[in-house]
Amino acid sequence: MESLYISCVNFNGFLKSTLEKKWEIYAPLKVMDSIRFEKIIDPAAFGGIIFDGVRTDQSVKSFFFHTKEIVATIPKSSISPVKFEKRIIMGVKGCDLHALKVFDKAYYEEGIIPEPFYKERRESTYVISSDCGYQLDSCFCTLLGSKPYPTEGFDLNFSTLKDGFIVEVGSNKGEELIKEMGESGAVLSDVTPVQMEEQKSNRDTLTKKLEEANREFQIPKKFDELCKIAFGSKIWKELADNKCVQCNGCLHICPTCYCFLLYDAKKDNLSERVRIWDACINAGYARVAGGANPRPTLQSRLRHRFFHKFLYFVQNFNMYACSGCGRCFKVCPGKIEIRETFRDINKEVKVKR
Amino acid sequence: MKENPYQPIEAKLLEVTDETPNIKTFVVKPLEEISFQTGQFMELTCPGVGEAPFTPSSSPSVKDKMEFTIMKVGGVTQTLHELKPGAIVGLRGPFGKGYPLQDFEGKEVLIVGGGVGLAPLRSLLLTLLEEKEKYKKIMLCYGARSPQDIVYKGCVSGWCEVKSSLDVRLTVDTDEKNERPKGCGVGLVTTTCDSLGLDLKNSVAIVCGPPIMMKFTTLKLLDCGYAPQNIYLSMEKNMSCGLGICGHCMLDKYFVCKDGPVFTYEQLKDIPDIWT
Repeated sequence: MESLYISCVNFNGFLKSTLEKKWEIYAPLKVMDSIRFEKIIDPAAFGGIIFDGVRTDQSVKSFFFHTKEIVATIPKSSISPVKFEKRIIMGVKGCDLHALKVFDKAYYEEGIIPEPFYKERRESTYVISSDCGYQLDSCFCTLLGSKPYPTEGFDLNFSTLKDGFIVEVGSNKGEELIKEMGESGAVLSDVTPVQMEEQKSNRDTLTKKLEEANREFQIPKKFDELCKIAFGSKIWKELADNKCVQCNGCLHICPTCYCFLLYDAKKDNLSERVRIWDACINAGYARVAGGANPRPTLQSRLRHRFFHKFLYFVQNFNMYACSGCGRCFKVCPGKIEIRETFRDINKEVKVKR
Repeated sequence: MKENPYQPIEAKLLEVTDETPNIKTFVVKPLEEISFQTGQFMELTCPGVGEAPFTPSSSPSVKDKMEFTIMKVGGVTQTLHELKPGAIVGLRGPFGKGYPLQDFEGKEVLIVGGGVGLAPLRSLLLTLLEEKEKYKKIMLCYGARSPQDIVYKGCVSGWCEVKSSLDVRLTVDTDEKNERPKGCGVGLVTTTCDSLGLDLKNSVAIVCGPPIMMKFTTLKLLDCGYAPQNIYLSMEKNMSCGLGICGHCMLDKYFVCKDGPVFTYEQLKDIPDIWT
């Protein structure tokens, strides 16, 4: 993978040129006590962009998969997703890149055709990711085999150094951006061994810290293997009875939850087909006409949520549909914790033997 | 975007036939031709109300029209039942895998239907009869709740008449007023699977009906000696997008809308709770 160095001053110059060309730019900014993706419209905001922070409060999901949109009408009219000339999302973390990979699998490969609304947005967006600078107590990407720095799935990745960035090029779209940078007058140079060492040491230190923080959740069995023997576990009933309040928070904040609901609504003489985010813990989610419900109990629906992420997706694509971002735990009023749940299942399985 | 998979094709309702007090057959003419394989399903839209999945009950060889036999059970079907000929509906599809007809060739084909579950099986049966020389034997076992609940009353008697190529067994769960057609027994559909007189080593069974009927019929067929890979089941799930994405029809790792709706029992037998 090609690596280059760019100084902050040079990068900001490039950003300014993209704004002049009317590209859409989104980057993590600090808003009150949270880090959020905000639209950058003024070069004055460049200084506030956080590259070396931690995951944003909300993932990049909604950039590609809108919470609500009209996907068709009857009679037919020309419904198509909003087209971007070019859009850059910066400061995307490794966990969100993993989630985008899940979406790519689900929306490009799992379906019978590439989902056109997702595809349109995905293709017109450049993803500039960046290494995490610190961790939250809910972070557990390392437990799932990932790292707190991106290793794949980006167009460009930025590792923050003292006064600039190491830029890794991860795709053809990344090459395009490098070319654009050159054309804007930005200077890119080779990465020096000292800079390389700084990047490595930052990455290793944070990885070690994360692994240390997650040591108490380390279990010998892989999560998909545990699911296979946990269908009848009493854990699901415990989660349903004592913790879950069915608020849908976990599924909506989840960067990998990709399910949706289609419904039709009348508007004047049109029938609009609306697509909104959906959640598999809703009672009516799998119910068929006539009332039969394959998952009538909350515990069976909670189990399905875990199994889709940690078993079925592994069986279909050999990867977890979980990025280890920990957002679900942060928003859960009942404090349902993925790490804890698997640790409990592991304990239960051990006791049974 | 080349084509929008959420956009239905408009279709005109040509004819509505009452089958039972709560089941009607709708003949629709899509404004663009739609070709499908028997066993594949369509999403039928009632404009402004919503869409729901149905498998056509007509043969794919009829190109300009499609028939759907629909029970009134929910919002969309309620509205459909109120529609009159001339109304405009929408169609998306076809979706899923159809019946694997090539796997049935040269075999004795047993079709077991319950209630409105005969709808997709009628499409299959009509398709098989079009090339009946390809199949060693075709047998239909159909059970309805009562004589009033038998669908395709006209056709069923017709099928009984083509005896040489088709063996038909009918049954109703109850017949209080003694109104059942000639040759129709009383008892659950599983009773028609007794002494089938089929060469089970060279036979496939195709089952469609309500979940409870599918469960007991499958158990009965296994008991008769059918191998799990020779029992084909139509799984009714909440198919919505039809594309294999939205998640509503997930059955274990499968998306019923794209991996099904027809599965062999072999594919499903290790999944807990498949009959609910």
